[in-house]
Amino acid sequence: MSASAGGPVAAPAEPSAEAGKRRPHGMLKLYYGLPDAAGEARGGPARGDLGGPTDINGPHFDPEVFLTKLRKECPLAQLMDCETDTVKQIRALDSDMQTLVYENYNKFISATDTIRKMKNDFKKMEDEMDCLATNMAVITEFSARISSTLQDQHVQITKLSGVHSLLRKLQFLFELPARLTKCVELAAYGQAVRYYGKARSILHQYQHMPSFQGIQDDCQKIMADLARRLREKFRDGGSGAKDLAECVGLLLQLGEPAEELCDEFLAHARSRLEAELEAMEAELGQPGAAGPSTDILEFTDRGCNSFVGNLCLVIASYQELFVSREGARAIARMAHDKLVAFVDRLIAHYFALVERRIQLERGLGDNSLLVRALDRFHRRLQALARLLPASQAAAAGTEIVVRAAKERIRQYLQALQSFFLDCLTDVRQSLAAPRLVGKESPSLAELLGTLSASILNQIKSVLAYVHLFTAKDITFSNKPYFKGEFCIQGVREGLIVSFIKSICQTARQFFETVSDKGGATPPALLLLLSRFCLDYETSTISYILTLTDEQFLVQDHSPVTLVTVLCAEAREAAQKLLNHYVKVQGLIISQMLRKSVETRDWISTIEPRNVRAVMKRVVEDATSIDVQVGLLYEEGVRKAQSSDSSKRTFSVYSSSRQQSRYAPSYTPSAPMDTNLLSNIQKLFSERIDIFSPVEFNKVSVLTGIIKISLKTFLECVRLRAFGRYGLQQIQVDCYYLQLYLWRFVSDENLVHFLLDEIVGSTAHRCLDPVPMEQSVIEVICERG
Amino acid sequence: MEDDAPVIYGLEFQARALTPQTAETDAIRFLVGTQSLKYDNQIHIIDFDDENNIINKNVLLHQVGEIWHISASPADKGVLATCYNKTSDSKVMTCAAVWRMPKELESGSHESPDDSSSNAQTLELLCHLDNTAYGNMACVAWEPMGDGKKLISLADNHLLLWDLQESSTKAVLSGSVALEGKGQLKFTSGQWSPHHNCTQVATANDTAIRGWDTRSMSQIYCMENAHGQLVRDLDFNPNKQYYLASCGDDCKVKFWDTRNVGEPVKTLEEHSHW
Repeated sequence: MSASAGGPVAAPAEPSAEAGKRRPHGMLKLYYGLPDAAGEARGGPARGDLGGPTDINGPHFDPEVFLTKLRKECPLAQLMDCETDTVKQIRALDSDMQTLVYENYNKFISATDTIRKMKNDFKKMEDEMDCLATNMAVITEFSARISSTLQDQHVQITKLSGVHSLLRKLQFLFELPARLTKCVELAAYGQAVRYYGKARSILHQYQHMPSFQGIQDDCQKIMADLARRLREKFRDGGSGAKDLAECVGLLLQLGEPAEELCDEFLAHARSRLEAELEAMEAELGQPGAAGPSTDILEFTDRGCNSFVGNLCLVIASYQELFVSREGARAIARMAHDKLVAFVDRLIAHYFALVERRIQLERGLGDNSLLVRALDRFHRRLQALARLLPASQAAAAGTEIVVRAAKERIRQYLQALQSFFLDCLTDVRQSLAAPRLVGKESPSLAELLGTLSASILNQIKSVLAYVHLFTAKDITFSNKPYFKGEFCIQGVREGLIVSFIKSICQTARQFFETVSDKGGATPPALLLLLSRFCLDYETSTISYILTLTDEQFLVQDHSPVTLVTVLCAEAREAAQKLLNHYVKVQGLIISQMLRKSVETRDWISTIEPRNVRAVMKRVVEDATSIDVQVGLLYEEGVRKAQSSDSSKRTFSVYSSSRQQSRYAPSYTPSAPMDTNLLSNIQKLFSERIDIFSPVEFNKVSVLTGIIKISLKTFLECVRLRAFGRYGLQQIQVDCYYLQLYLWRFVSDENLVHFLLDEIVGSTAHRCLDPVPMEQSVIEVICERG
Repeated sequence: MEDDAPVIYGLEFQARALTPQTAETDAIRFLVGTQSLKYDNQIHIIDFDDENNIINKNVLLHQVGEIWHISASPADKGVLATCYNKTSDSKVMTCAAVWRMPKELESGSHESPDDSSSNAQTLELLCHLDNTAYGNMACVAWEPMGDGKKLISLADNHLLLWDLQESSTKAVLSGSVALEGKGQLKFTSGQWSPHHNCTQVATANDTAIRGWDTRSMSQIYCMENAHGQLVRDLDFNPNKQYYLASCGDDCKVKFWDTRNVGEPVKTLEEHSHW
């Protein structure tokens, strides 16, 4: 009961103790930031009133309210229990707190020790810092003192060094005239100019002072002398381009007028270059004199190496000096224009020389020297053009190359033409020669073969020569001219096509101009040429042109002469030549026949015993022509005939045909109209074209010749009057011709017809037309 | 004319000689001489009436021989000259003569009766051109613009110039020139130029054409090998004084300028036959 009594006594004290305890607890809790979890764990009876004033663990616990509530609601037993429970909890809490206090106390004591120790250390450090500060102050003071001490001396030294440099400059200036003189004596002009350049502005600045004035005067005098010497050297010309360039550089530095210098520089360069040109010209020799002593490659080489090389050097140094130099902007334009004019003038002279030299190059053999020379020439000009793009030299040089190429082509064309003519002369000679010597003549076919082959070879070699112009390693071969026009207009048209045309032209001359002037041309040559042209038409032209097109890969497609055009031309020439051959041979035979008819007295002739010799000659000639033509032309087509053709037609000739034709003249009383009509009809139905074009075969050629001959025979007969035996002689002759001529012609009826006509006309022109017995004629002819 | 049918006139005999009658200015008239060895030869006077497109003819007998060449006097339309063959047994000789046709035929106005042969009239011989010393006559030609008193004849290689006197009854040789050269040269044809006061004559022999001056009787130009074969005939351009045409057995017709005889002015080759 004491407890319980004490309980309530103590109880009122509790809330205050509780409150006292509570506050530090709250502060700690505040310090640690913990939520108040104690009340929740314990709770107990006050669980329902969480957080309220009755929750013993809550923050708003009010001991009065709690006690009041307990006393009101709980029975004593429960109060007792509660009191016991509370005491128990208080005791547990007290022990816990004691434990905690002991633990923390220890820690606190050690912390206090540490702080005390730190305090001691800091004090020591502060002492040292104080000592340091004092030292620093002392040092500062010393330094200030030293610098103030040295101040005066430093100013003096600066002044002295200024004076020193000034004195050196002055000394330099005073010594300058002497130095300059020495430099001039030693020919160290560069050095002199450098010295003078250094001193010039100063001298200029202080020229109002008499002493400086004197120096300046001296210097100017020396420099004038120097300039004079430089100019002399400059004019003297003994020095090379490099020296010269140096001279000019120095002079420019001396402030000489640039334009004058440009002029002088160029004038000097010109004199030297012109000397070189003159040397080249001397090498060329007088126009019209014997050929040059050196070949063109050597010439061009020399030109390139000496002239163009030096020119390039001049241009380069000039540009360096006047055009692209620092601070030369003002004169660059003028200097550049002067240079271009200068270069163009010299180059023009040079080109004139080169062209003259190229024109001397007439040798028609190997082209490679010329091409190589041109290549070198062109290459060097490219270099020049790169140096001086404004100059026209490169374009003009290309022009020269193009002209040379054109000229070359022209020469080759001429060479080909003359070669062709030479070949013809050879052929002509070999055609004429055997008759003199009497040995076996080379056959026409062989001659033709030789002619064709040699001309083709010549064309090929010329093509090869010309091809050099377009070789890959030649610089100008990629110029547009050499890629297109050269191939098309130059080689193909200008050379090959022109040559073929000239062949045709030459061939044409044989029948156009020479034809009427008599037999200047041997007929065999006509025949040969005709075959030659025909061969060209069939194969050679297209072969040559294909070869050309292959070698000169043609890139542009400007209109070119077509193969067909050339072929047509060649064919026409061949045709006309063959026609002409027929005419010439026909003329030869018909002249014989004409003479034989005209010179004989046909009225008082004796009875025929023999065939006249002229007829045998005609047959012989026809045979030899047959052989000749057979060598070059194919046989040709004949109308079908049997082997005994002469015999078979003989009967026709002697009986029916001849009789029908003779009839009107025997019976003049026969009606005129029928005679006339039959004659007119004959004129149209059996008309024979005498001078018609022949075909390219032997039979056609022979037919043409025989037609002409017999027609002439006929016309001659018609102009004469015959006696009986005259008629009979003609009969014999015609029968003889009949026997031998049929085999040469394409249509034997033609021969029969013409011979009939001859005999008919003779009978008509006969005073006493008594024909000879056919059997007698046969006997006479067979006898020979 | 183009629309009209062609007018054809048939001859009995073959003929080689034809000439226009230039003295006849009113009508278009031609003279044709025939060639027959066995029968009497004729001269046909052919009038062409171009208005009615018909032909009138008269026939004269020319009994001395076949006619190789004929030419009419430029002054007197009744006068003509012929070259003819005189045939004897052993030889043939070509002569030339000047003839006068009967008066009534001169005008050519009236048509002779149908049967011409029965009623044919004969020519009256005026004179012979004596050629015994010179050879066969090939051609006679009158002075074109003259009074019909001068003519030339070609005899073998001689060019003869004749003067007709006493109203053409006497022919006097007033000049001659011979063609020199190797072989037997023979003139085939000749023509008197109407220009240059009729002082020029052109002749053809073989393949050559030659020009002659009748005043000096000397050669003034020559075209050797004018044609590839025999020159058949030639003529002057009546309107252009230097131009000459020739044709030959080579089937060509060529035009020449006599001032430049090296080359023909033009050549026609259209024929392939003669």
